[in-house]
Formats: sequence, structure tokens, C-alpha cells
Amino acid sequence: MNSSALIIETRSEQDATVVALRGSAGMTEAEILQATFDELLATGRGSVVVDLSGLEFLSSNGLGVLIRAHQALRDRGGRLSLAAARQPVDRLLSITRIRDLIPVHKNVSDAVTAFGAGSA
Amino acid sequence: MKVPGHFGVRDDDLETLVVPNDLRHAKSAEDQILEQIGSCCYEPDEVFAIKLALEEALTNAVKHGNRNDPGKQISIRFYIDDNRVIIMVRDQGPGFVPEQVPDPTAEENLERPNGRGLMLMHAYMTSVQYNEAGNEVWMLKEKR
Repeated sequence: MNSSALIIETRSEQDATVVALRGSAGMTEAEILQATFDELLATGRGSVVVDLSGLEFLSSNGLGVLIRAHQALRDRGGRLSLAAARQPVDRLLSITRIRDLIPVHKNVSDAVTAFGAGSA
Repeated sequence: MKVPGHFGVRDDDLETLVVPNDLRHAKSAEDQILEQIGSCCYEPDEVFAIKLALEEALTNAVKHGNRNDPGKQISIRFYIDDNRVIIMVRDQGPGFVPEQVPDPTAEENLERPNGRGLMLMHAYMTSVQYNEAGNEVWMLKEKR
């Protein structure tokens, strides 16, 4: 729990970009996460799923980055979804009501499918 | 301010850390505290809660209290045993009025990328108490 490492891997699934997070997205890692989304936005990616299955910790700093990414994508006609959160992170998404702002799915596959359904 | 009476420990029992006002040093203090908590018998969700509240308090101190001023410091006091964790974080800023912080879960505030720290401290800790000036927060987590 006291590991500060955040590992970010990006891959494509169908028409979506999947950003997989592993480790901790807290006060010292939020900058790294922000830089990843800045880069993604610069390349014009439209549909992004954040795979939270490997994320052990998330603070309001990390949440702020996700909210800004959601807003930036929406402003460009894109979309952000969250997927596969573990129990503590999932609870955080509920307490903060982030799931009322950003779609949250059980797994990445569901999130990618929902993008397809949304654009049909 | 001394440790609140209902937290159940004596002021002399607390350890003290003072770190420069930046997130890296704050993180180092956090790691030190979490390492001690790791040697007790807290459940993973309790450790998550304590880490979250501590990070929120430290972030508030660095960014809002001390306004990212590298010439300032943060004081941290803590007490850990198998039944409770007590943490105090104090900055050198003018303080604030907690009651005036907007509710981040209100519909009109959901889009705000910040302003959730105080709410999260309250949601995850057993007790949260500020000093009168509003630049010192005391948090208690009791083991279930």
C-alpha cells in the first residue's frame, strides 16, 4: 500500500484506447497520469477506457486527473469510461459520485462495447 | 492544539515529523507512517482509508495551506497501536473555515476536478477535527 509506483500501459481495443493503470495514483503520481492524458489528447484519441483493475490506490489528486480527462475528451466529441475497479477504488468512485459523472463498467470489454453501442 | 481528549491517548505519546513543504517530502513522511501501520493488524481497506485521509490532509497542507511555498514546513504528529491510528497535519498558512467548503458531491460541483479532500477525510476516518484557526487537522481511525 505504501508503494508510490504508477505503471501506465496504453493499448488499442477496437476503436477505443485502453489506458491500464497499475499501482498508486496519489499525490505524487497524478502528474505522470496527467502527462499521459495530455499526450493522448494531443493525438486526438476519441474513446478512452481507463482500466482500473491493477490500481490499488486512488486519491483526489488522481480523481482530478480523470475528471479533467473526461471533460477534455467530451469537449472534443470523445468519451472517457472507467472499468474494472477493485473494491476500495470502486467505493471511492461511489462516495465521490464520480460514477454519476463518468460511466463505470465492470470490465474493459463492457466499456468498449458500450462505446460501440453509443455511436450506433 | 493538543490531541483531542476523546482520541484516547496522551499528547506525550505522539511522534513528530517536520518536513519541507513539497509533495515528495510529504510522501516520504506518509511512507514512514504507513510502514508502522503495516506492522499492526489493520485490514487492507482500513489501511487504504488511512492512507487516503493522510494524503488528502498533506495535499491540502502543501497546496492550499502553505500555497506551495517551498520556504514553509508541514508538521505531522501521529500515534499508532493495534486499536487506533491518530494523525495530525499542520501547515503554516492562515487556515480556513471547513464549514465553508462546498459539498463536492452536490450536483453542481461534480465536474470540479478538486475540492474532495475534506469530504474524503470525513468519509474514511472515525473522527476529524480542526483547530480554531483551520490550519491543523486531527484525524482518528479506530480499528473495527
